[in-house]
Amino acid sequence: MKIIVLIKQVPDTAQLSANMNGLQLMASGPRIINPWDEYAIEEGLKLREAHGGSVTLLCLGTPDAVETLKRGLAMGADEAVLISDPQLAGGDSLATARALAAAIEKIGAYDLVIAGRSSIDGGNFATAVQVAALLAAAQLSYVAAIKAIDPAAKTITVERLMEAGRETVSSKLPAVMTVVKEINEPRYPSFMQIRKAAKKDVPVWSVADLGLDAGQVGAAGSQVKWSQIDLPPTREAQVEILEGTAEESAKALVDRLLAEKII
Amino acid sequence: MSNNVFVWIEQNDPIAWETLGAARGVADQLGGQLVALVLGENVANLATEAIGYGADRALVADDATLGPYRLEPYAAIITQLAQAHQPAVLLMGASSAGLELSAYVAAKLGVGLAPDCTELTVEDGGLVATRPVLVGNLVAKIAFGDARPQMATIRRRVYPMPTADSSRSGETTGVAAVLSESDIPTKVEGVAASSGQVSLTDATIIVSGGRGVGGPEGFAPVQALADALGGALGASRVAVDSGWIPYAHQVGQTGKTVQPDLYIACGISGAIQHLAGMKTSKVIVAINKDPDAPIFKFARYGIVGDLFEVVPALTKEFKARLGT
Amino acid sequence: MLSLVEKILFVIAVGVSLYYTQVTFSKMITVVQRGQGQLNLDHLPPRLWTALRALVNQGGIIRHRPVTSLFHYFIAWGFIYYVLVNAVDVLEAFIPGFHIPGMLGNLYRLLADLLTVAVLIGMTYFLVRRFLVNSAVLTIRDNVTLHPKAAAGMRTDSLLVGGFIWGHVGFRFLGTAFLVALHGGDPWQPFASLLAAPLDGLPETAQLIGWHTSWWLAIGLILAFVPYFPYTKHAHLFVGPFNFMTRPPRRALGALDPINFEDESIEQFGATTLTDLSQTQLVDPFACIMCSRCQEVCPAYTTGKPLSPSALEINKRYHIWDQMAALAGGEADESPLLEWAISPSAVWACTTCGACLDVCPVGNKPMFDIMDIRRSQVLMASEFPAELKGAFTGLERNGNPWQMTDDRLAWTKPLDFAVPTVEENPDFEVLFWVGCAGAFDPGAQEIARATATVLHAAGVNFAVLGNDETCTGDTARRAGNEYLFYEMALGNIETLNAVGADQKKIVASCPHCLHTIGTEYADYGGHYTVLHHTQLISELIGAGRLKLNGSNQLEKVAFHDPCYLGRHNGVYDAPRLTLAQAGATLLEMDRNRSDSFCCGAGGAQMWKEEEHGSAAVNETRFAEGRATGADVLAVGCPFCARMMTDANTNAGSPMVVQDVAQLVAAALQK
Repeated sequence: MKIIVLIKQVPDTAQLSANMNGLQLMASGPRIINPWDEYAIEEGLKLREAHGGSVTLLCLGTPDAVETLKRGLAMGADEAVLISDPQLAGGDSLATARALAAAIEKIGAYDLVIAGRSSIDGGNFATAVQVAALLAAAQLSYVAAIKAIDPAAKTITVERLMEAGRETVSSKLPAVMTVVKEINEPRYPSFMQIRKAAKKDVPVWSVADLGLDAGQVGAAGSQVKWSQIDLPPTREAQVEILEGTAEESAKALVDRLLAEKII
Repeated sequence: MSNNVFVWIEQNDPIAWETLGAARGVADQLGGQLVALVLGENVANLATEAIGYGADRALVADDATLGPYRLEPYAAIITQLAQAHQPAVLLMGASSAGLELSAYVAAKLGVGLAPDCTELTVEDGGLVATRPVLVGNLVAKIAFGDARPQMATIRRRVYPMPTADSSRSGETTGVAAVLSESDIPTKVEGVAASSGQVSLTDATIIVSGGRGVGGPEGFAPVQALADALGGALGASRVAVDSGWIPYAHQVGQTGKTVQPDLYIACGISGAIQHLAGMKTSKVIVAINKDPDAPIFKFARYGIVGDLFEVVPALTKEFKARLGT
Repeated sequence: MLSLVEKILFVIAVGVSLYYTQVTFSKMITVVQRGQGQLNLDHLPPRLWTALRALVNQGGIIRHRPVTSLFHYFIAWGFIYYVLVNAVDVLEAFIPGFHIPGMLGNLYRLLADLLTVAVLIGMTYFLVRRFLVNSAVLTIRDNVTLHPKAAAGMRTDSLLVGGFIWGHVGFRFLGTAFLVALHGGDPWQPFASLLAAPLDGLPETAQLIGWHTSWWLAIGLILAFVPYFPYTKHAHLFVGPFNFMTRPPRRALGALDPINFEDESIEQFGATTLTDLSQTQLVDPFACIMCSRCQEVCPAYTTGKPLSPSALEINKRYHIWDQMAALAGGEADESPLLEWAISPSAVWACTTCGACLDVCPVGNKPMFDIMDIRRSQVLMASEFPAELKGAFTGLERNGNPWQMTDDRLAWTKPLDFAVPTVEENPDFEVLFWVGCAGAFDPGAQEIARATATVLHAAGVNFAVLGNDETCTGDTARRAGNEYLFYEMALGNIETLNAVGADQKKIVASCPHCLHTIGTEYADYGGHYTVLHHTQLISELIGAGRLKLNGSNQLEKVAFHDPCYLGRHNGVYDAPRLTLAQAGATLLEMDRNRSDSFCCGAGGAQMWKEEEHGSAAVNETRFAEGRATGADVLAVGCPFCARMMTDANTNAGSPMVVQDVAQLVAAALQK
């Protein structure tokens, strides 16, 4: 099986603290591999282990995103490609998907593209789906389990985690699949693999390499942009104790949770 | 280009009406019509309902290929309708289906998409969306480019359910399916309801029990609250070690690390072993008899009291308010 | 006197024996040399002294199983003496009229006579213990991986060795009795004389034949047995002392060896197969006598986990016997240790408490084998309990295993004095290393506050690193993630040296930090004087800098020795002294000081679920503390505090678990 895994480098939201707010984190905080993407890589590796083939990682990002690819290589991926070009900056999900789809086509024939459900920075739930739309491949989102896969017959059956429950869907391959965390437990790279990964070459593809015009990608190729970014209203650090009888405190809590649109 | 606002009406999910309610405001500000896109099999009633909830008219695709929701046939119709009718805005609910469908359609149309929005306003004749990013640690305003329709999905329960008005009437126009069954790569084999077994790592709401639940039977009210919220059931290490609940439910350093929007800790003192697994939850609610329990230091809301009184009261209140 | 024919035969027999001894011993040596590194043979005189001490005191066996140990001393000292006895016997048989003259000879014979009987009594005791009583301490539970040949082999081996000793010494005894009978009595050999009495009536020829036969059997058994030594556990009698002699020097009992990560030619990290172990670890199975003392003190084994340190050594032994020719012939041994030596669950059940290292009378190092296997599992195979991933990720990204992002100084907020950082107080005399637990765990924060309060009250000029502090890497190291430890160690050494901590004192309230910084960082160029907070506090009390309400006899307190303070670093008195001065009446648990029993958190157990067994380690230890009748269980480690507090809560007991510093802080005169 030829598997391509889309990964992204994101700010590590676990580093948010009294000493680092969201803006500071976005600007200069430590970067990690998007947590869901580790599950995507793991699923790719498991499929390769079961059915043979190869796993290629594809990441669009700044040059230092190569660290994220190295992490994925250390987990066991065969190859990695970084799409990096100043022209890509400021791209919305579709502009990003265009570059990714072009890169996938450059890589050539594939059976399955796997990505995380969403990223912890943009949280668009969109890029991988849009890659599927651009590639005209079948799209399987929120996959919690692969029930069956037959690379020879080019079919796959998955379980999708939806609000109504677990939906079993069969599909033709090639397909694009996004995964949720239930699907597996990502492996921790061994030192041996980290060392091997460090020596691997990661080619960097520019917009021109992908055969795209500057107007199709990055801010120039985008139809939405973040025009303003703010910190959410600060809250009292102290806990608010809800007093009263059980019924009163329950009502007070539900009031607050609904008012804050938490549920 | 029209000033009309199109809304996809998802079947069997109240998010469709919340979205329609939000879209009503947008359509009014743009001075356009609010058009419901109703797709499915035997969905004539749904079109009527949509008009009752505020749509001016409905475009209805009723076809066997549209029985259960599937991305490709739905996207094909919506894409074609958008190209044919040139709406100014196309909205959907930010449900699992709405998120992927909107993304797919936006890609096919080559237009901008603001997913999972908490606020929609109209400025200078165009949509401006507000949405939380960086898992809720930043709020971004989304500005759209020139392409139309401007697309957005609306976060669940942000906009209120509009009141249904059965006296409203509107035109219902049938449209044909675009893809035939042989053109559709996927097939839905079945759906298993997953109530009570929502996976912890993917849950947006988690209700957990600890030492305070006192025994296996003590998890019943905790489970009931989780069910009422459509959330997952968690537990502290003590509860698991005591054999009250299986290890799969354990949240903490040596269990699952979770990051839900809402974490309700019932009878959990908040040992570091537990905190390590859930402290990054967006909102933590602590219910504990002991006002000095460390969990209160990490919680946004706390209720000092007997969980066997508070939790059932909460379940009742949530059910009443959420209609679950 | 032997006849000429006998003498010739004897010389031939010696030649044959020596030849085969050389063959089998060479094999043993070659097998050992298949291991990594070298045996330590530098500084030979002190090493020989170590060996001699181990030989004479038998590795200090008397500390445990006193009765059995006493019988073992009988056999061991008897056997040591028998080296002389055998030599004299041979000389007497070869040289006409040879004997040790005068009173010296009398004493020699008396001692030989007494020790002969002592050996026979001792050996009888051991045979009865193993074969009639079937002592439980000599059996290994079913859930432990055991080599297929081990169960039967252990009994056969014991019977062989027992039979050999009984035969050799017994026939020598009989031969002596014949001699005594021939010579008409010897008051210096009372037991031989007793045995000679019924032989007195025999004709002289019969007595002579009796002596010749006995002599040949006694000496013959030696000649026959010596080449066979490497194949029996009896080899322990010299491999044991040899093992002590050739062990690598360690700054602390369980200080782990570094790995060179800069050398890219290294392709194997930790131990996957037998020959990945170091040479000294391959001496271990030859030294093992299968007494299972290590198993008896192992917190994992005694709480039902599938880990027995002795089974590990026994499995190595039987594996080597099976493969001796192949191993000695240089063939690759591909079979993973995890398939035959020890189960994965056992590997992850080890708390690294070091009790097995401390107790072993022949200097075996099963804990190091387990750590080497963990290293290979993590660094090579990436197979380890999934729960540890959280701790590893926390160390990588947040510098603490809980993935906490809070301010590392948050614990100081409730104090009514300021705790200065090194920036605020660059001229500090003592660096207080708070540790991750002290910084983040609400329970351990109390300990950190108490420690700071005491230092403040004594007017100690101290400072903390604040947010520049990170985990020492102990968690990663004990969990086999040596690479992560290496990175953290280098980072911390840089931080510590930058503030001049290498020129000052460091005080730690966590023994794991103390051990790692104080003894293990030295391998990476970090040399520090690290004191446990109880050591510093006891110094302060001694210097009169702390005024305690010591006259109030407060409470009955039992102190639980933390493994990494006590056994690993030898600090036993400071906490007790401190407690006494704080007015506590000290009680001791059955297992205390170097015999202390782990709380269950060490060896990275804190960061994973306990392996499946029959009891929880912490509850087992807590029950022991409770049995003392003390009001307070005093601890000196935040992880012990956590484990004992949890056990206390589970037990619903009225006991109080507190760190020594907390008790001292409470006893401070206001």
